[in-house]
Amino acid sequence: MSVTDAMAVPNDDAPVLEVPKRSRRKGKYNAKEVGLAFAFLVPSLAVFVTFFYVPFARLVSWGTYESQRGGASYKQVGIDQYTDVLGGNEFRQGLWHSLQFVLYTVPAGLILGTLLAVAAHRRLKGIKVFQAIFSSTLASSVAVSSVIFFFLFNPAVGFFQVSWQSDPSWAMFAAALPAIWQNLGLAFVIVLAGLQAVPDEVMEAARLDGYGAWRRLTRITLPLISPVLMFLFVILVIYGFQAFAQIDIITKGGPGGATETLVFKIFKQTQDYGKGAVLSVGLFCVTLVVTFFQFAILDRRVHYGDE
Amino acid sequence: MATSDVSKGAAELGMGQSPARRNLGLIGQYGSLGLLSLLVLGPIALTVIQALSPPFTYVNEGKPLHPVAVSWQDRTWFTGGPISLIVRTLIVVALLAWLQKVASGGGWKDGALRAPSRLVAIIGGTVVLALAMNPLFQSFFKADGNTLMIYVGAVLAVAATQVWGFLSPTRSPITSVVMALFTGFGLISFCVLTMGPTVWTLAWTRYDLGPAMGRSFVMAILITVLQVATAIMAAYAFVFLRFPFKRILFALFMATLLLPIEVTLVGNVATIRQLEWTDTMQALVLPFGAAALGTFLIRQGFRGLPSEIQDATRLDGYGHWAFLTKFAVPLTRPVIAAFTVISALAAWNQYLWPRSVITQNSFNTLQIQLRLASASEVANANQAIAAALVAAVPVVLLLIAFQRQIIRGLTAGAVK
Amino acid sequence: MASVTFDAVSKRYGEVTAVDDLNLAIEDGEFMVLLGPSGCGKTTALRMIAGLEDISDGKLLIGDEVVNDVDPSRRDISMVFQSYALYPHMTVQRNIESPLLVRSYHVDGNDRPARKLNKAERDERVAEAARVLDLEPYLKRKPAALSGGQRQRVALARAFVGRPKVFLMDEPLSNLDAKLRAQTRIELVELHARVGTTVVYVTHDQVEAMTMATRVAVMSMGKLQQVGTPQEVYARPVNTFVAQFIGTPPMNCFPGKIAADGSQIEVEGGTLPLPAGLVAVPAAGSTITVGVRPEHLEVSGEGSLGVEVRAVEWLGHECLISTSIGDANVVIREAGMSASQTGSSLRLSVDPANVHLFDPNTTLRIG
Repeated sequence: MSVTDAMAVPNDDAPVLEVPKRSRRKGKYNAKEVGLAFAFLVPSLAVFVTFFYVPFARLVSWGTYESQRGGASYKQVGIDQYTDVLGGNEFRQGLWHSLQFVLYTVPAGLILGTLLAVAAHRRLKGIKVFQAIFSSTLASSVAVSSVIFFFLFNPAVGFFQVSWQSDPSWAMFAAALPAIWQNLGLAFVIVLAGLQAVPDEVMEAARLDGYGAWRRLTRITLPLISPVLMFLFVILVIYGFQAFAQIDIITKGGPGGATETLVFKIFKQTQDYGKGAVLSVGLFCVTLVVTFFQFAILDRRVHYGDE
Repeated sequence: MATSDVSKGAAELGMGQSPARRNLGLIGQYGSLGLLSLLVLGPIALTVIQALSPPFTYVNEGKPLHPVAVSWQDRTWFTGGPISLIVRTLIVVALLAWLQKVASGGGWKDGALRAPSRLVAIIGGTVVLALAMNPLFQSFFKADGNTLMIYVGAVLAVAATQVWGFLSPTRSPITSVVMALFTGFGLISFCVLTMGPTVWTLAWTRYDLGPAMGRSFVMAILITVLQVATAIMAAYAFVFLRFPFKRILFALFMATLLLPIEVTLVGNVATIRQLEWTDTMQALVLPFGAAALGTFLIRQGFRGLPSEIQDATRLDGYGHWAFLTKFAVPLTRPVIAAFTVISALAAWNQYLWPRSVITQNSFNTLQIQLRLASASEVANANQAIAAALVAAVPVVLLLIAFQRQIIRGLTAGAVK
Repeated sequence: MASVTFDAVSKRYGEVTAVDDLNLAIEDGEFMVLLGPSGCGKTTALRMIAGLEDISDGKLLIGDEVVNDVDPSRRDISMVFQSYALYPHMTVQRNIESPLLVRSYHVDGNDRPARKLNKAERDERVAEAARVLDLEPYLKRKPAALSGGQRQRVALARAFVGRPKVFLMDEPLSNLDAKLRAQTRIELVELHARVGTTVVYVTHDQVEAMTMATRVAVMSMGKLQQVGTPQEVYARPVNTFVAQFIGTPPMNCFPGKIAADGSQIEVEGGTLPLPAGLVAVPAAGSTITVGVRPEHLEVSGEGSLGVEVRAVEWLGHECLISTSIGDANVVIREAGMSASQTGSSLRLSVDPANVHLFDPNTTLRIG
């Protein structure tokens, strides 16, 4: 090997010139290319405009109309309906019920998902079988899991004949149970992916340092996978706020409206466009806050991916 | 012994420990994994028991009820006509082939199944099982049926066909025998549970699961095809084409993530009613014809393509369409596959939207049909439960076939 | 085969000028190496020939045709990329065949319209390219199953198969290990000798430039510095940049002054002779930059220049002795083992033919 070969350094022009990787050919647009681009974007745009933006715009304006005689006609009431409904009992109640659902499902999902993932993240003969079992609830839909739990805890014919579904203080828990069970697979898969991304060297170093299993978990593993847990947290919160089938199948909003979440109330209002619109805008604001977190996390992840 | 293999695998975990302690630790690990499995599978196991239990005690005394008992008697391996016989046989063949493939440690392509020992195991196992099922089914309703003896005999007969296929230089013969016994027991029990009781077919016909499943299939496939196609096209435009207002348009795409169907439900339901599209397939499909998530994921995939590959295709003379179909899509197949599968899963599981735009039960998708089943008479709960279990089968198959893609799709964004 | 001509070509990205007013005539059949450090514009120049970059100003000709607005695939050129840009999902066979599938060729003579090749013609060309580059055993494999050297040969075969007028190569050896790189250099020269096609080769590695080029074009900061055979560029660098870029270790440049009598150069620690054959000697007393290559500084007891040894690096076949003249580091290259010790003093002498003078303000060569 000659000295010169050893001194050769990798060349690359772009960083020095600071030319963006893909947009090297800046400047004038090519008519054919622009035409192709818009042909490619139009299908998506058509869907987004027709079923996302236009309906939302209509909702915002419908919020200012109050339904008369059960939706037969509408009267413009301006911003009043917004302040009335969003400040009123019903919205607050729906939000509280949604929050209850979230409080039942999210911590359970995080804890059980971590438990399953930590248990199944090890070199052991046959561990693949356990991993398959733990992720198996991914195969159930919300309707399937709801029906299963509806009958498992049915006061008349259930395996566990408890009256949770008709008890106002237990009904929400009964509706959340299938969600908790169904989220196990998702939570497990996500946390396991996080654990698998932790380099083996880190754990080996901790072992050499004399950390026991519990300390390794709390001092090293959990902090290292905290971004993943955060991601899971956001997903579970979104799922929680969007939950509908469990309530529709298990409690039908009852007893006495004790399980009417925000989405359930919106579903009930698809006849009264005015009030339904205001509740929808309310849900949008909640989604906005949650999605903001989601984006922050996604964005950071994506930048890791670009490296 | 099997345990020696196990401790070999776990040797690194238990380094520096005495064998006794290590074995104790292994028992603890497997024990806790078993307990957790019970937590996950428990509800399903109990539900299967519920579905197979005789009709429940009558509620609503005085109303006419139509309890249908779980019956085993009219089943033999050959009932149900040629089609169900073929389906039944194919399922058993597929299961045996899969087990043999897993045991051989190879893939479908490297010809592991072409070894004569494995072919014999698959074909022989199927024949023996088919022959053994008839006396077994019949023994269930004969007082002196000797069910247990026939059961054990059937398990042993099927196991005998499998041992040769499981033998391998890396595995002790005893392990192979144990694996064969488990295979025989699992397969016979699987056939007894799925092909024996009538409750599955009863639920299928009673709740019209066939047509409902068909509608769900069509809906899920249409939504998936549309989402994948629109996402690929849009992502291609965003990555490889130059056009004005790119950033604004991309922001417009991503902002739809803020407008899930729960938020726009009232507005979209109004649109569908105005178009008089209630109870139509287009009402179920079109609002989900494009997905920002797909555009985002596939765009990431496209951006990961080396720019020199694109340069090389330009020199070779490939145009945009050829580059898209021959290079961009094949080279980002993992990303596209992952999105396809999670998109299909989400479409299949749709609940709120179909529930809102379907007014006639005859147009119900599978998920909505399940709600109907659960809302019917509690006395026939076992059939409603059976319907739920049957409804889960397609997704279970999807999960088995595309496990890697599903997991990649679900964890996209969680880790790199 | 064709010449390539840059006629006052510039390339700007907004504020940044990547290539500035480039005039360069690459002759038919030549092996031209564009040499320069990272960011000097050489790759941009190459990509402009390929048509992968638009030309901001000036004209680019391939043969007699102005190709500024000709699509890359119609320029009858081919390119080997730094990363090889093999299509990972295609077999070697399909990779090599790829340009033949979509491009049209003047196979029926230049007066007949270009057409696409038929299957038999394609197979024949792929087979020939595979034979020339020893790829026959690997045709059914995918690139991932090949070694780095094999991948590089596939990239060459893909470029070779279309029998283009011009081969463009963008650092094709930079991903190979040193041993393979040295071997491939020789193979590339042989390949060029056999096919005789014009080659434009971009590299930052001056060893590649010196060993393979018929002519070298040295670039810096988007500007062409010097064009010439490797010998010319080595022996008569036009400015201190070229002087220090070519040669390893680089040429020593240090300040000096023309002596009052105009007969020699005064530097710190002694004197040096004026270069032979100067057309016009700079005025006596004027400051200049003196350049001497490490291999031209001879250690001898009667040397006219005294220096102190700072460090001795023994490399086996030679020694590099570090010293300084004024503030400038000066390296002396001595064959074999050196008797010099760190901290000792040395006398140096230089053959007048090996002394280079540069203007300290313009950095240009004097004489």
